[in-house]
Amino acid sequence: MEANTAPLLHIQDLSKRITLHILDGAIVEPFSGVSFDVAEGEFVAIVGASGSGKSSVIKTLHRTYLATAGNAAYRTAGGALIDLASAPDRTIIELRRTEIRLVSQFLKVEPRVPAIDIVARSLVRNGATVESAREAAAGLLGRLDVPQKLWASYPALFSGGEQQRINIARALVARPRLLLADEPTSALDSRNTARTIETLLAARSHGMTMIGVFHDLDLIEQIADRVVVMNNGRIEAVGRVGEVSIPRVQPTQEVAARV
Amino acid sequence: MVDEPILSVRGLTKIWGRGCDACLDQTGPAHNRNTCPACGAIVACADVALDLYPGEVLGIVGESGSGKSSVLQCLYMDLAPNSGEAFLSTFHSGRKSIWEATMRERRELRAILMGMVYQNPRDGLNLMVTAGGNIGERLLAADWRHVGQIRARAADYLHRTEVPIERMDHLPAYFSGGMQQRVQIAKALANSPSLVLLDELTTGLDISVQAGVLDLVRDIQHREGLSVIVVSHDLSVIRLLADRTMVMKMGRVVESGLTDQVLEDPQHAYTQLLVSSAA
Repeated sequence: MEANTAPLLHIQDLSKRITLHILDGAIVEPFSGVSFDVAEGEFVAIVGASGSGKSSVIKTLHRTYLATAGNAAYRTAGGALIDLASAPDRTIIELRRTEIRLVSQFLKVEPRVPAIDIVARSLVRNGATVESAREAAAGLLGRLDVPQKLWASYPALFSGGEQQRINIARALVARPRLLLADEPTSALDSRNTARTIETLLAARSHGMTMIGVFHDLDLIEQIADRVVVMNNGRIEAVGRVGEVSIPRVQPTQEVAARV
Repeated sequence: MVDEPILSVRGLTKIWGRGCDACLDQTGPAHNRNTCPACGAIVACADVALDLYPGEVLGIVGESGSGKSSVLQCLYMDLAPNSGEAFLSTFHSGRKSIWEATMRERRELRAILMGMVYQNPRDGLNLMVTAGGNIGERLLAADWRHVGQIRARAADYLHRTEVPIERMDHLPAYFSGGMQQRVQIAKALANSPSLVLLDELTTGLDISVQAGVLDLVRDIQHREGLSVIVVSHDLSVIRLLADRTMVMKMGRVVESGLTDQVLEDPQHAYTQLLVSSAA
């Protein structure tokens, strides 16, 4: 089984620089020289203080950000190697539909679509009937403990924690091979966090790989195989949980820094 | 994965006026003008290239005068470009540029293969012909001959675009702006064109009506897998509908990419200004 020894994702010297033309060409460098591998089925947590570049790495792997240098070789289900940093837009669209999903920190969805259809739509786009897609969506929303009375409402009206679970359900329903997650549980209470972890671990047992930004140390210990520690746009350490020291960051500080 | 584009455009250039050798060098975003200083000609768009794939929605965004509507008008042959080629896979199997079409072929392209929705319903509808008649007119042009079938199809598309069937035999002149726009959409889509062109389709409408029209287009696009080019100055329209987006300024394409990437990580100074102005 040679295929299983090759990493699912091989990230090498990935860098991101932003030139802000509207601020007289000021240059911001969210991260640079980022290299690490992710094995199939592995859960990797990216940790670090706010502004360390964690979210930008996730966005670059999703191609919401364009990389300035480096590459990220992703091995598809069919065995092809695709550089997520430089593949044509069409290839990325196809991968996002079939293999790679993003859970952003905040739910960004089409307005005026009921929660259940936001989740079901991922499957409908892949050819499922509306009925079977809604059934799968309902199952997942139930597992994540989203109250059934909300399913037909618009998520724009939901609480942060409810929106976050819609976001997770939307990504997981299509059974992605690779989940990119940016603080997917930051707005959840402990009970809902536990439900979410269960759901993520169940997805892993079906072969899903995850790269996620997390803050909560307990959570990281429960869920992550390895940790990538970032500081000031650089990787400081990569190792198994317990082997590397993880800086403690309060999620509230993180949000405050962005506001 | 289907990887043959349904539409492939190369070198599309449209100049108003005689034009001269300096026109293309002396205009564009770098000069911040689209009027040629040497001869006074206006360069509406220059060297525009794009590929549209089946079932895909391509957005073109830019301010007034950026050339985005000129691109659509050239594609629908309301305007004749000065140069360029556009291959539609359903026209001569994509081997003949639509801009080399004969008069008869032009009618076929406009009536059958392409559907256009204009900003102003007046441009796409005959307001003094009934809603059903407007759609029937287009179906007749596409060689539908059976009156019963034409009426049934018109009723079906008015239903899909949420125009009450009892208004089918009324004149659109007496409809609200939003309903006129929905009739125009029904007319453009009724004969299942290979390529749908949407030009600022919500610009003249109230905000709440805009939402309804956009949802309608989005739902029909998802359901029927339409191949669409949508032109808008409104980033929320682009965000809602487009898979990929091109940004135009002063007649040139300054940037293109996945819609979320263009909106979250804009590369060109103009796109950065556009995105930060909308936020």
